[in-house]
Parts: sequence; structure tokens; C-alpha cells
Amino acid sequence: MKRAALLLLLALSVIAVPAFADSDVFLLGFAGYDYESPNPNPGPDPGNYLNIGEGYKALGFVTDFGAYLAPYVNITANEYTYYYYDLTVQNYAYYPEFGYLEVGFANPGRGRFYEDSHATGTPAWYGVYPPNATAPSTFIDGTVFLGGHIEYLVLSYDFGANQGGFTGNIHFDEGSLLSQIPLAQRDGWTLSGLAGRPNPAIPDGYDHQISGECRIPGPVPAAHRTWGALKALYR
Amino acid sequence: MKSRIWVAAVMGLLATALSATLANAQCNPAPNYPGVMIKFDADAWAYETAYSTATLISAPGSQLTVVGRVSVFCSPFADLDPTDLNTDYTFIWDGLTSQGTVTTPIGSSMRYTTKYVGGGFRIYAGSPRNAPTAATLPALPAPGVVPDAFVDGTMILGGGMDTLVVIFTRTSTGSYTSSFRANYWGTGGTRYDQVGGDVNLLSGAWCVVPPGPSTPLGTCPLPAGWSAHPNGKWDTPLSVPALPSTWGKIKTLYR
Repeated sequence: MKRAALLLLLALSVIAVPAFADSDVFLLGFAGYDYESPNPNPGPDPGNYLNIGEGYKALGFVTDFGAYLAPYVNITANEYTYYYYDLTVQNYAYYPEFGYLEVGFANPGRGRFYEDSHATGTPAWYGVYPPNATAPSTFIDGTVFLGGHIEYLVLSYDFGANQGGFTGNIHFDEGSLLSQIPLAQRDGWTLSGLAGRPNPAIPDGYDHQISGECRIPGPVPAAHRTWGALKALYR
Repeated sequence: MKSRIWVAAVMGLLATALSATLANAQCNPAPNYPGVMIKFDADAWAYETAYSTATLISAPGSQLTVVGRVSVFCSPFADLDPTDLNTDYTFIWDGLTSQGTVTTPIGSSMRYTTKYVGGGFRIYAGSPRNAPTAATLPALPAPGVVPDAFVDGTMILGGGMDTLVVIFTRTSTGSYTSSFRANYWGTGGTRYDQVGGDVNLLSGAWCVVPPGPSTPLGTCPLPAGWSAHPNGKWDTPLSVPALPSTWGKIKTLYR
């Protein structure tokens, strides 16, 4: 009986699983724009951009859902949006000889992801010079399907190449779909590329175009074992 | 232990079947501004002929290839559904020759800049859905799969790219920020007439494979042979060509 159980366990242990099942996994993707608010020193130029104490906002549309959320969303019936906010510049370093800016934000900021019915909700519109009549308001109506606090967000930007990025932790702690993410996998993280001007896609008043995603820790992986290694577990 | 093994196996199978990508529901460009035309998210990866994941250095002359699957189609491709179970919308960037990575220490940060020239892209509609997903991505080389499964079917759009600039930075906190940027233009494909040859932006994030055993924030572990996971989009060209039509078709619009 014990031998049969061990044989069964051996068979189960070599079931094919994704090669990197223990790596983090894709949760959702997004696209949109960012802007400064509050912004007492307007302008995307190095000297005025993301000074200490200024606020950073990002919003737009969720463009893809990973396996944890996909069964619970209805992309025909609903619009899905995101909003990063409560991000205040705490650390600032600009190196003009390299055209390089790096800023850090005070913990925690906040990230929320929304579901809004096409039939009864309000379509999200960027407008110009946010905050405005539609941004962020039309991006943050509806139901919060996921949200979390953002920590250790760092943003860097290369003014010579007109591109940059941000990355930070996001710990998910609210939302109608929070229960679909196992407790042990809620310490996720987020990254995005930033594309600045010249860029005809950026509405007036916004700073960069955004394309990025959120990721979470993967599930516990299956591990390949030899018969000898299995026997050793039961000695 | 048994239950965790089953969970890992089932999650792997589910990941290939349940990824929900969005059709045109998430396409609301700002009025009078070109928006996203085609986006890719979870399923896109890069590999090179002469790149070290340990040093994050691309050698001059290295050939970069990026393969992936479309997650969103917007105007003028909003009629295409990337969730169609019978159609695999995939793409490839190739012909990209590295000019060599330039490393720049900046304070306690390190910036890695690599420019790739001479490249182009092709987007395909193929059947069945046979390209790997993030959950089934094989190590390289994967003959018969990479890039083969990403370049089968009908080419709906192809074109050229100017210099692709990839920048990732190990910031002062130890985390990595990243981006890529290039201009593209259409040159062919079954849907070329709807895009034309105007230039617009291809850009996004470039999540590199970590250089060591740890996984700093902003890096993406991948199977052996891959160098990065991009996430990005093609923007709609500034001027979308007029479509040929007939008098009869135009009259039907006003009935």
C-alpha cells in the first residue's frame, strides 16, 4: 500500500508543468498616459518635472487579463480602467550631463482597477490638461475589481532618448476579484515603459504615453524527483 | 504536497486556456489624437544571437528577434478579435542588428542603452492557435516552434522600423526600469491599405531577465535562451488612408 502510494506520488510529481511555474505570472496589462498633479512647477522639461512634493498620476485602460482574472471579466459588457495615484515625489536626482532623471515616491501610493458597465456607466475619456471634467472621474467610476497599495515606486527618464519607465511593488488588498488571487500571491509588482514627446499620441497636458502590466508571484511549482530521492523522504 | 502538485499542473493548463484579451472594448483614444492600434501584453519575448543575461550586454552585430501575440486590436483593426479561439494573431520583429550595449554609470544607477538597426515587423493571422503562451514558453532553441509558430498564417501587416532604442536602468534602489522605442511604417500585408506608410510610434516596457540568481524588482525570469519580455503597442498612424468604395455602398450608409 505504501509502495503504491509512493508510485502514485512519483507519477504525479513528473506531470508537466510550465518550466517557470515558480516565476511571477502576468496579472493584467494596461495602456494610457501619466501626468503631474499637484504640479506647482508645470512642464515636462527636466527642471520642472516631478520635483519633490509634486504628485504623479497614471490612468488608462486595462488591455489584457491573465489566468487568475480572465474567467471573471466580461470585456463585451464592461470597460476596464486603472488609476495610479497618491504618489508624491520624495527623492529626486537629475543628472543633466546624462539627461537622466530618477525619482522615488513616498510610500504608499495607491493603484486601483475598475469595471464599468457599457450599458449603465460612463465611457472613459482622457480630455486635455488633467485633472479635467473627465479625467480621472470617468476612469474611476464603476466597481473596484482590484486595488492595492504601491510601494517603492521608482521612475527614471532619459530626456535624450525621450523614454523611460517605472517599477514598484503593489500589494493587492481590495476589490471584487481580490478573492481570485490566493493570499500568498498578493504581493505583486508593476512596471511600465514611458514614451515622451515628440509623440503625437500624447494629449495636451499629459506627459507620457504608458504601456505596462502588473505581475504577481507564481504558484508553488511541481518539482521533478527521482525514485531514490522520493524514497529518501520516507526513511 | 500532492495537492500543491495538482494545483501547479492545473494552473499551467488553465493559463493557456483562460487568458482573456480584449478586442476593441478598451480603445478610447483621446479625440484628435492617434491612439493605440495594436497592443501586446503577456505573450511577447525577445532573444538575441549574442547577448549575455549575466552582464546584460548585447554584443555589436547581435541579431535581435522579438515574437509575441496580439492582445488588443483598435482602429482600423477593431473588427479583429484576438480572443478568437480559431485564430492566432502573432507577430515578429527581426532583422534587428545590435550596435552594442553602452553602459553608463549615473550616480549609483547603471543605464544600459542598446540600439538596433535595420529591422522590420510582420503581424500574422494564423490557425490553429499554436504559438506558445507565457505558461508554455519553451527554452531556446525550440526548432519548429520559435519563431515558426509566430510566423505562420496570413500576414495582415508588415513594415519597417527605424532605430529601436532599448534602455533599462538598474536604479539606485536596485530595481530595474525599462523601455523601448522605435518608429514604424507599413509596407505590406492584407490590411496595409487601412494603415498606409505613415510613420508612428512603437513603444513600451522591456523587462529583462535578471542577471543573477535573485530577481530584482523590474526583472522577468524566463526560460533559458530568452533575453527579455516586452510589453508595448503600435500606435495608429497619423493619417489613416481613405478606403476605396462604390457609389452604391456610400448610398447604403445614408438609408
